[in-house]
Amino acid sequence: MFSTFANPQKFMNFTKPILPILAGLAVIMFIAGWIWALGFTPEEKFQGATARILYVHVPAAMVSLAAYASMAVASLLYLTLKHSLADVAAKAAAPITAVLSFICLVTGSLWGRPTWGTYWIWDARLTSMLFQLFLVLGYMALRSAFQREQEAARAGAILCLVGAVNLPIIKFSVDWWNTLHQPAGLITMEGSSYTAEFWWPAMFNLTAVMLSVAAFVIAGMRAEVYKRQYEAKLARLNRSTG
Amino acid sequence: MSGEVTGGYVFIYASYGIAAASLIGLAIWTMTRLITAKKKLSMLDQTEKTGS
Repeated sequence: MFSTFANPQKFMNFTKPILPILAGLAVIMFIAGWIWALGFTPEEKFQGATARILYVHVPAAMVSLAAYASMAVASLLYLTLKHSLADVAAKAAAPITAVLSFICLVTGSLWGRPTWGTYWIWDARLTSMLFQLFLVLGYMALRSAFQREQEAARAGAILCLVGAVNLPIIKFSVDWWNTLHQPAGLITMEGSSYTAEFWWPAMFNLTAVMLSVAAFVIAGMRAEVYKRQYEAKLARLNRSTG
Repeated sequence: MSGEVTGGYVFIYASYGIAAASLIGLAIWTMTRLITAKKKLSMLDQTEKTGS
């Protein structure tokens, strides 16, 4: 199955009808999820109305980690199988990973000011998340520094895999160290610490973010495949015309 | 934290506003890249067909 979808042309044919459906569904779910979160969720006992920030912050945080993990898997596949579509996937996932990391940090900071009394603290969770943002921006900058796509892909994949060591640090930082940031609550091995009235809108918004990531990655991959087809065709034409 | 948080609506709206602006910005950038890449490829295909 992997080799079937690893064919760029089959990927393009397969994703052509899927992309508008995913994008449309993501937009509808975002609008509905945010209306639900802002207008119809109760205030939390201690955090008051500011708990509504968490319907943006928590999904962005969770999905940014998953998106980085998918970049790392794609990078590993590229380095081991040398398949260009794996590199295309890693490259396409980088911008949305960066944006979600940014949203996570900004909304966390805006939530922290009224609840913790500060926008920022050099806490292990916050610092490791900031490191992820810089890592993804570094990945994008590194790739663009190379003229040849193969060199960019190899350097990017190595950086991405080295940076994957930060993933368990982000995830378990709240357990390993005494942090101001609270432990995971939405989905844990012991179940959720959220009550149903907070859990459902949170899960709805989490689904919206996951759908949007799928749409962003597919759209980015399609753009990259078109770009590479263009470059390959142009090189072939230039060779044939001498 | 001592006691419950009251108000804070400016932080809520700022959070949703910044998140929306970031996602809309990324969507516009991604769509522009996709449309431009597709257009460039089809123009090259056209050039190849006409032989000019």
